[in-house]
Amino acid sequence: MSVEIRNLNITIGSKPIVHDIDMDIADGERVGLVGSSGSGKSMIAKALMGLLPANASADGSVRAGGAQLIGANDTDMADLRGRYMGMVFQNPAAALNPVTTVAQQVELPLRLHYDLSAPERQERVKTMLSKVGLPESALGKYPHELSGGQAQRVGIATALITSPRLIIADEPTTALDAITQRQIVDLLTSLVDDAGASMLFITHDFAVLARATTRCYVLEDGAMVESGATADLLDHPHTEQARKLVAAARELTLHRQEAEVHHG
Amino acid sequence: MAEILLQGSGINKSFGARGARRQVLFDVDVDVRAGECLAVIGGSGSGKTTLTRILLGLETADSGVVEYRGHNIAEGRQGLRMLREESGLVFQDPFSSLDPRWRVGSSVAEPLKLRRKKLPSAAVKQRVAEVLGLVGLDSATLGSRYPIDLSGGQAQRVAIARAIVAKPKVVLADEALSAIDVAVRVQILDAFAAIRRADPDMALIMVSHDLGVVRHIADRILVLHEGRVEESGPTARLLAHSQSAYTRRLIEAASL
Repeated sequence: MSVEIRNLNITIGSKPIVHDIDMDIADGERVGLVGSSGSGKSMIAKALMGLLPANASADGSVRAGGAQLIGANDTDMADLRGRYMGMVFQNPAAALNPVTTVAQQVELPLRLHYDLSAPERQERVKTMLSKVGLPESALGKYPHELSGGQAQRVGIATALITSPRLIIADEPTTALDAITQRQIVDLLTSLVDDAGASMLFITHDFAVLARATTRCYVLEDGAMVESGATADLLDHPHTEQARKLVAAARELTLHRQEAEVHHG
Repeated sequence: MAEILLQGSGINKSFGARGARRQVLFDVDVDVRAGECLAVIGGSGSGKTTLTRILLGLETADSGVVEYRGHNIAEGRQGLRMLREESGLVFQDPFSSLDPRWRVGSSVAEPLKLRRKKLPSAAVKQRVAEVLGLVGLDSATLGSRYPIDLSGGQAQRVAIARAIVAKPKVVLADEALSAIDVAVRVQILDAFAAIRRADPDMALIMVSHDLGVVRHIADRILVLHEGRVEESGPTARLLAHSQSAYTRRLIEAASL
């Protein structure tokens, strides 16, 4: 599903959060939104999902699949979100309901938004679980019995069960260890590509961004400061803000030569 | 070679009630020398936090021995007391490790006030300003603020200043960069480098899941995998010549 954001302004009370945001996501494209904490990244995602806090006001235009989301009523928005959008959050342990099993959790969006029989739903849940690399034995487990990586796999399954056309992933790997981060990013991108869906991937980490997206936007202090192909941005950041984020990513990762490993 | 400050031998540890008991450390040997930075690296559940908490006397091993400067910390009081007085801690989330009702200056001064040998208040004030300066913070402007007025990076630097204010011989930093924005992590690493320069005999133990963040600062790396020492060695050698498939996965995960 394509997204077109024009002149988006969001204020909370009298405080401007983001201003004059333009952003596009083509059908089937994986786009990144990168910036420091407090830059306003999550607010843009929330505007796109129709989940802005009650005291926030937004003006401008946010279109998803042609539908205007600014000013849309709650019922239409809930329907659009339920059927066409999937969300993956930062802290999987907090995003999952602690008193429902994995099976109930993943099935819920189908119950709410689709008219399917129980056996049909269960069949889809089983298929989805194997797609995210969880064994069937995980179906009856509760969130506290899962590792962080397993919980995020359940989060991804829940987001993708309705075959959404747009996935919004807000810092989905920040709470995970380095090896698990890679696995989750690779899983998410391959599932999104297989489904032909679009993805907005939000992170403060250029290293993760480089793996998850082909194009990205850099947000600082509520303003879009730079955009372009992710690989180009890593090699030639134009603005000071982007340079700072790229330099941090480089400082904190191993270079290929350095990591060159002698296979015994 | 520098003095061995901390030595753990044959450390085993299990958690959980009878029946659901799970062993998290298996016969781990580790030593920490004065002046070095040792990184303890591993994924979630590798046992790195449990191991380092046992080393610092914050948790007890089921079997095995921890010696601090030659004293078994489980026998008699002296070893553990020395370790408590001569160690500093930095945790993952600076906001939950700083008391929200205390001004920055008071939080940083607290370890000095808990000492048996009290310093005059002018000396405390001077030392607080000195350590805040060391981590790149101005005591005059930040000392009277509360944690809520600080950014994540500032709060973590306050926690580092507090950890070293009483001149510890060993500092444990457990995932001290994980909750920090990538762009700010470099500042925190600089703060750790600064405190090492200021006291070349202080040992620093850095626990992390990410080889990328420790590669510049660690002299030596110990890789833990499922409660066992996978391998250990000087940073450059381990990064270039690791024989372990698990370490190679960690290296790959930390590569751009």
